[in-house]
Amino acid sequence: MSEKVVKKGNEAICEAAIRAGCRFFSGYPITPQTTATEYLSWRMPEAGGVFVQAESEVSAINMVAGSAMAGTRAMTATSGPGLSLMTETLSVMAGTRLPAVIVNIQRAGAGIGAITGNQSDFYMVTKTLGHGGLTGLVYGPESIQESIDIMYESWDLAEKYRTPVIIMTDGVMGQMMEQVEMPDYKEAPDLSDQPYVAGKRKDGRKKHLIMDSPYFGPMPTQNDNLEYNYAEYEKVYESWEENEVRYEEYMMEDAEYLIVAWGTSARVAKTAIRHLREQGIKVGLFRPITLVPFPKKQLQAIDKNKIKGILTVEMSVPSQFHNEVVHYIDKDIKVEKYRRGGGNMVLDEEIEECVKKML
Amino acid sequence: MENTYLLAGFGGQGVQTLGQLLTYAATDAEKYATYLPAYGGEMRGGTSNCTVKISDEPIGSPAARSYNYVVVMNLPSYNAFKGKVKEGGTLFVNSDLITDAQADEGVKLVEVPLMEMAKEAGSPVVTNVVMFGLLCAYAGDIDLDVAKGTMLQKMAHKEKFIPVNTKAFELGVAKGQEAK
Amino acid sequence: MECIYTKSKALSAVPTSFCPGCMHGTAIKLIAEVSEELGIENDLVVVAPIGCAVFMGAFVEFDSFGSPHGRPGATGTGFKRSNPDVPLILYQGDGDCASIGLAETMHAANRGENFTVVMINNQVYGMTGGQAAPTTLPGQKTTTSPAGRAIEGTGYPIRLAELIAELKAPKYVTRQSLHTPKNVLAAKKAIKKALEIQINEGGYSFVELMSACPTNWKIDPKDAPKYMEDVVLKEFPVGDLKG
Repeated sequence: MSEKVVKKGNEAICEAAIRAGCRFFSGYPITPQTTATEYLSWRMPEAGGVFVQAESEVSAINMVAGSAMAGTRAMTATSGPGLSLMTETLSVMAGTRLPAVIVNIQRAGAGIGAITGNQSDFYMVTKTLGHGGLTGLVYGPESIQESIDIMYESWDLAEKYRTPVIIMTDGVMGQMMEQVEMPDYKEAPDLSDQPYVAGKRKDGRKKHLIMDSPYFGPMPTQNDNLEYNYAEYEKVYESWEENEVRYEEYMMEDAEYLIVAWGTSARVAKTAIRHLREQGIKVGLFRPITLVPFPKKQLQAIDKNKIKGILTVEMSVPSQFHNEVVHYIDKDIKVEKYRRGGGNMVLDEEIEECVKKML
Repeated sequence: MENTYLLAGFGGQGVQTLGQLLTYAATDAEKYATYLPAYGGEMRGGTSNCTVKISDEPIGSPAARSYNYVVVMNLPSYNAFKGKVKEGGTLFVNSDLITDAQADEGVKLVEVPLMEMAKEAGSPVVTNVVMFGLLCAYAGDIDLDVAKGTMLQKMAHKEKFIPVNTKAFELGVAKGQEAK
Repeated sequence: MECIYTKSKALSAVPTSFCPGCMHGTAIKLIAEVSEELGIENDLVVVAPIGCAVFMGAFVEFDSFGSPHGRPGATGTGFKRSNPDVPLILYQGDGDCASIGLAETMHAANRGENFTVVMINNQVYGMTGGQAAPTTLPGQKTTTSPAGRAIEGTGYPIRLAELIAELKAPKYVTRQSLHTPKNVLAAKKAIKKALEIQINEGGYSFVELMSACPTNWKIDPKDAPKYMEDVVLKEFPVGDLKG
């Protein structure tokens, strides 16, 4: 039975993972992720799954890869510096096409940076996973409820496309509390026949040589097979552009001005939009939910005859999301930006002021 | 209708519990509510703080530039946050620790002898429950019966604390109604 | 006619491609034979990570998966915890296990993960062309220590088996060698004991196998066993260290 509860974001997204059939978690404590690891340290065993506190993020993601190769729905959660340490294995997982879920509870800036919420890992997860140019599905929910909903179906997508799935929350969403609706428990499918799963061979099954799989194929040499298989992966990525793009259009119907934002920034923008509307200013919000695939066509389709100006809002200095958005917007539409960095939150009052300046 | 709260004090005064109580109670009263704790680098000078929003509509931003109600339970919090009250809003100060408090123009000041009231309720640690009752009565966001029920459910892990918490809540409610 | 010896069913039809005098082939053969003797040839899973160890997957009939360099201790942990009934061997080189993967190796051992590590110690990075490893002997010439390994600045050879034997959780820690038929038989016994512990009672076991890399040592393969006996095993003495 689904149920309504008031929960911290980190705990809620972890509970959704349990209900989605996740039975393996490994993580290393890092602010603002720690409450996720703490929650699963007791909740995962209670649900009959395995919890391991790893010696590092490097180890944590490799444990997740190992568990995925046992046919288990496995996940980890971390924050920017930890995600940096995971990138080699993320690229290996993209290359081997291992399904798993990674939650990145973003903090601010490079290196140690600041431990408060931010959106500064946008480029890092949208351009490529680690080295090698491959990618995975990346989601940027705006609320705890949306994090839950995405988490709940993330392994279905990960297994359908055989890909890592990354869910990008942040310190704000991770630490805050609000009422959410928890979904029912669902059973994980039997994955033991999948080519990326080792062990438990049924009679006569040929051996699985898992991480070597990209070197095999119809071509005469390993290099040719690698090239061939990566081209096949590219077709999968292209199919995402057709089938997996998600976005929200909020009060866009009669909008003359548009805010484009994702995640926490978008949620804050909605407050500003309500206040601006009360003052008779017709503003709407375009919000990408998938960061990979990015809603390129939808941004390209924004009509210059209808929209007089666009304001991007993000929690990152230097800009990242802004640059990506500008790339797809009609060149005749003026695009301004409002961003905060250093772990400072964007504020609805400041968004309001920025929009008014554009009028 | 959307009300915003900023709650600050030193660790141990229970401001995080206070923020969570408001959120739980508002949700029980079928309103929308968010709680956002400050953590790590945001917590300087020994203060702990959080923000709460309570609304009839879904809530966008869980934080704001300024707030309808600001509660400061110690001097560093008073210094840091007394300027964060919206015009027409209220600043609640713990008058046991903050003397000669002043509010900005257009802001109402409510001085609360929080520790004295907690002692009167029977325990020095229930300052946050006093403040909870006070805010519920003063702001009117949450039905008082619902608020009391939520508080007792969340706070009374042991039966022996029920009378103390109940008294603290009621003292707070009385003070809140008086200050309105 | 009575069959007194045949290739293990667990070995694939692919001939090994290791260099002359390399002992990886021997180690892989022993693992295959032991798996058959224990009746787990259809169940055993091996982790064959970066380094010459990676070739193992092609030469055996076991399910196998690779691992980013140094991480079998972690991938193995994730796999085994999710599949506790599947016997698992981490087949690693000394660079993988004792250098880049030292943290994963030690922490897996310290947690007492229920798997068996077989570490091939040939004192160099074989696959990349004979660079110095943490196990390289003092004074040994490699492509990154052309004047010989200097203690000052690079330290002493890491004796990983001894380090692991210091931990409380591991059940069986041993160092064996592959340079004489007698040692090969002892090595096989050690692998078998380690797997029996894993299957019957559960627990971590570590089997270090001394091996030759004549190509990168730049010595004649036929001289390698004597060099091992006279020089290498003085630094890395064989024998059980725990259990």
